[in-house]
Amino acid sequence: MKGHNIFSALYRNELEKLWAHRGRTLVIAFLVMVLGGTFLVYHAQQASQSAVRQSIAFQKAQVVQLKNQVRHATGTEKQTLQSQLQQEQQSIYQMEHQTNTVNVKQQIQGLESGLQKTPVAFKGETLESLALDRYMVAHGLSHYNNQTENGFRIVGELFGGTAMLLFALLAVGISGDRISSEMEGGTWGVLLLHAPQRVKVYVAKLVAALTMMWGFMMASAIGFFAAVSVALGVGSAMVPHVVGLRLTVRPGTVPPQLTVPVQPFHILPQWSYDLIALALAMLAIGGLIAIAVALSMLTRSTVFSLIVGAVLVLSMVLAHVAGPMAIVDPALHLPLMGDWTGSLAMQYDMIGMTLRNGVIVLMLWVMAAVSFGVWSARRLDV
Amino acid sequence: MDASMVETSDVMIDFRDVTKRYGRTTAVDRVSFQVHRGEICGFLGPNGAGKTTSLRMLLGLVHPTSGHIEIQGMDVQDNTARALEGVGAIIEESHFYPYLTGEQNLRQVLRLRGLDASPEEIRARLSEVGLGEASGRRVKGYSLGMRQRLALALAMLQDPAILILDEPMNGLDPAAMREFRMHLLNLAESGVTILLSSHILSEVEQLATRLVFINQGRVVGIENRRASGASQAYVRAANADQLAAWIDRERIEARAVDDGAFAIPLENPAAISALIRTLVNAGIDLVEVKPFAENLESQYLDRMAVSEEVLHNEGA
Repeated sequence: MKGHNIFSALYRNELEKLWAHRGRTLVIAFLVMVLGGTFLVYHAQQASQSAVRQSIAFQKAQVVQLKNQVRHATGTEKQTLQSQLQQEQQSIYQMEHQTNTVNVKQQIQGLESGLQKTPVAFKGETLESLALDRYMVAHGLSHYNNQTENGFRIVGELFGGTAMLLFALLAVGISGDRISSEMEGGTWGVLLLHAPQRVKVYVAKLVAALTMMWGFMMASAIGFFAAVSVALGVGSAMVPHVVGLRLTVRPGTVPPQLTVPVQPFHILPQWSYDLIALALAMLAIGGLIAIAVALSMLTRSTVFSLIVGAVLVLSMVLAHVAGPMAIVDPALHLPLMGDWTGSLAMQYDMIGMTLRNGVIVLMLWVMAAVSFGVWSARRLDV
Repeated sequence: MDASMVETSDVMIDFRDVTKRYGRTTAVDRVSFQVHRGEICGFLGPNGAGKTTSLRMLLGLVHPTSGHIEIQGMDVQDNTARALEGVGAIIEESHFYPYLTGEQNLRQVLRLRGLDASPEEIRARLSEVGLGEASGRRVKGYSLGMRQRLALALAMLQDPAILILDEPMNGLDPAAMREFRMHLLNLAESGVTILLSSHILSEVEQLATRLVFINQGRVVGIENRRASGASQAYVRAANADQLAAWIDRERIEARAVDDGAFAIPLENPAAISALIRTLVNAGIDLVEVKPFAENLESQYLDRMAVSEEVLHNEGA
């Protein structure tokens, strides 16, 4: 038009429309997720610790009873009771481990002493634990309880786990009607009348949806960190996480189960893990937004694009029934951090669930969605 | 204004053999016409005639299957943004973002047009169309008339050289309609070219200087109203048969209108005095003689009836 930046104008307009149309939904979703989520995390932790404490008390009473019985027993009966007593005491030790802080140095000694006797097939897992413990000691974390939630930990869990389902549904909700609502409301014609560059209109809509959703995710990260820190403590920024694991199939397992072979371990501290989890989650949600906008263009119906988008997202829940083909499901790679840590591969017993493959799958979907969007935008008449 | 006398540079809108097909359905069929600078061109036809599709193609909202449309010499399809730079439009119902306020809706378009989008400017523009007090209200609460006013404000944003108006008076009350009509006449006088599609024939009649009739996707008639309105005389005699006999004898291509009256063609508007003298000398008792501007409604219905017949025969 008169030398002004039409893309910038379109982008600002799209942001204004998105905020006016979906702003309230996003604010409510933020409050529900952050406050509700923090409450649930806090409540779950309290409940779990209380249950463990009750179990410990109950089992300690049983131990006292068993000790009395052992004192009066003889022969085989005494042996059986002693074995039972041993099991009870081991169980109490494990439960106390869950609620109490662990001395990491002692744990390293235990792992090192047991390493010689560990079968080769399980050595990788022990070495992984050792690597993590040594990292903690090297960074001043000599005592640690890995069962308690805290501010740093929640961010990584939020963007590297199933909570991504909520972000994904929200992303479909705010971007699945970007084109269709214009067509249904009759405003597509008005828009093209003043900005006839259809491809720029499409790109501005896509970028505005990305901005809004990424802003929401960053705000959620900060909100969760702050709220959980207040409720349960900040935690340590240096707690280690192993990423980039190379997994193998454990010999003789049917169906095949994955295990960690002996290998060098790449370790990320918690703060870095959190930031990378957020960045990868933003990448994955960006891909989903591109797909949702393309669906909106393809179906030209808000209802259909939202339904199809939601089904696509929820397909991650049913991925295990799809077999190896599930790897091409973009929804399965939404927690990309899970691809990198190997937790998704372990969960679905699929060796191909790596970060590289996850990114390739998502990028292929994004390329297909954006190509269709550009192609379709050029032809999208009123 | 005779079309043949118009210079090429005066052609503001040029439809050349434009066709639009949706599958097997031909919505617009080889439509060709021009609109010249300063004209108010009425674009008339029944529902489904292809008016809206034609206007949408003109505005680059729909791609034609074949043919070319130019605005001020620029091809709309090849260079949509530049061709539409000086065009304001109201298309069909006025659609806005219902969840945005009038002010926000206006600001959206101001930004796209690269115009001043300051709050003062927006309020001034909304006040001009009587929406100053409603500027902060969401458009979903606007009446149809308020929406049309907002649509007009949007259409006039960049002081357009060409206005494309599709049913712009829908929902306006009589006072607003009159105000709108006067506004359009002033714009036309200042050189703005207007292509106006409306079902309110009485309004088109008062505005249009040129008419393009369309039916079943085809242009079935083009009429220059300035010329046709001034070069006919309405003549009613005491004895209609006597007048008819005189018309036959003189081999004049007159047309029976009503009440035994005839529309007699004139070489120019001033020739009406000579006609009266001739008729009096021929001994015809005249009851009424006046310049004849054919009623648009009957003209429209005649055009449509004829075109239906022709198109039907062509189809057969």
